[in-house]
Amino acid sequence: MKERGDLMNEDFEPEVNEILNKKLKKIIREGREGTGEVKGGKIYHLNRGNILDFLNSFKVAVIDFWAEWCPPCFLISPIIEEMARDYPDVGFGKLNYDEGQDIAYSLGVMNLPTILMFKHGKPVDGVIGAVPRYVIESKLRRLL
Amino acid sequence: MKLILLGIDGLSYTSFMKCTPAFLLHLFKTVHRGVVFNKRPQDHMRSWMEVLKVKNEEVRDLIEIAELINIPSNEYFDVMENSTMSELNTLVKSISRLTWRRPAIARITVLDRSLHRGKGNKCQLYKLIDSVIEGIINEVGCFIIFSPFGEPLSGSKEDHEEYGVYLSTRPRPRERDTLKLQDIAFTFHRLITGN
Repeated sequence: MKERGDLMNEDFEPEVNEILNKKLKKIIREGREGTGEVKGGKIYHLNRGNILDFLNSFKVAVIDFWAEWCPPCFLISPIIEEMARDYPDVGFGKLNYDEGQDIAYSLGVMNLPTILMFKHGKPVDGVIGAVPRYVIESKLRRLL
Repeated sequence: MKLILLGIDGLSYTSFMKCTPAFLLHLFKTVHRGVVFNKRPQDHMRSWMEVLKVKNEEVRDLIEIAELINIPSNEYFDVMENSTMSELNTLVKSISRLTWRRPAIARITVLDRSLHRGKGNKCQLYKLIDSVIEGIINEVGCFIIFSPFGEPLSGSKEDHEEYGVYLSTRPRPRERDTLKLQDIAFTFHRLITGN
């Protein structure tokens, strides 16, 4: 696991997406707890018990994979919080890598921080590293 | 070799993108970095004493072996009411007068004090502190810049973000872990002894 300070796009092949989604759903089924009502405009702290409810509750969702020992993760964190307020129709969540390594692996997350964007529950785009807001925003807008 | 441990109360990575302190961002990209963890409530004196007094018989307390700048004696620890410029000017003057026969430990409190009071423009303070740090770091060979806790979260003196900054010429002790305050002391010791 490496921290990345530069911009990098992660494009997922459809077949890989399919496999990753199946694996993710299996992991989630095994540890499902349920979240109750999920609303936009806030940051959800995700784990294997609530990630599926979260992804199913939003047409477009963004997950910030982070760890407390990762300095660039703290650079990007306020940007995600700001965007959660500015895009209330989009779901924003944070997943601590150390608490959800299986989920991170299943989604191909190999670097921190990684921001993954989901449409209809499927990963469609992502950003690796601490990048300015406009980089994340331009990708997000294409999904809305 | 000129060595300095420079502590900046309330300095936080969470403001780096917003305030873009040029020199700190340069260091972020070029030297070793880490995250300091200090659980709330964070008492200023307790936090600093964890760094200055090492709970290990084999290692001497930093308070005994280093030149202390802007770190008052215990009973006056929280009573530092200097203005922004006064504190920073005094700090810079004190450091310029050092003979460097001993390593130095310096503390900047103005960011934390101003943010607790809700006074001052945060990014202007970051810019000011950034230029002071640049002046200091350009004079030394090895350094640790750290914050014992992150930005204030309220007016309460013990209420801060639990994650602080670590930027250094020496790597953090454990790759996939935060640094505790005692880790700062031990890492500075290793810088001093060269181990």
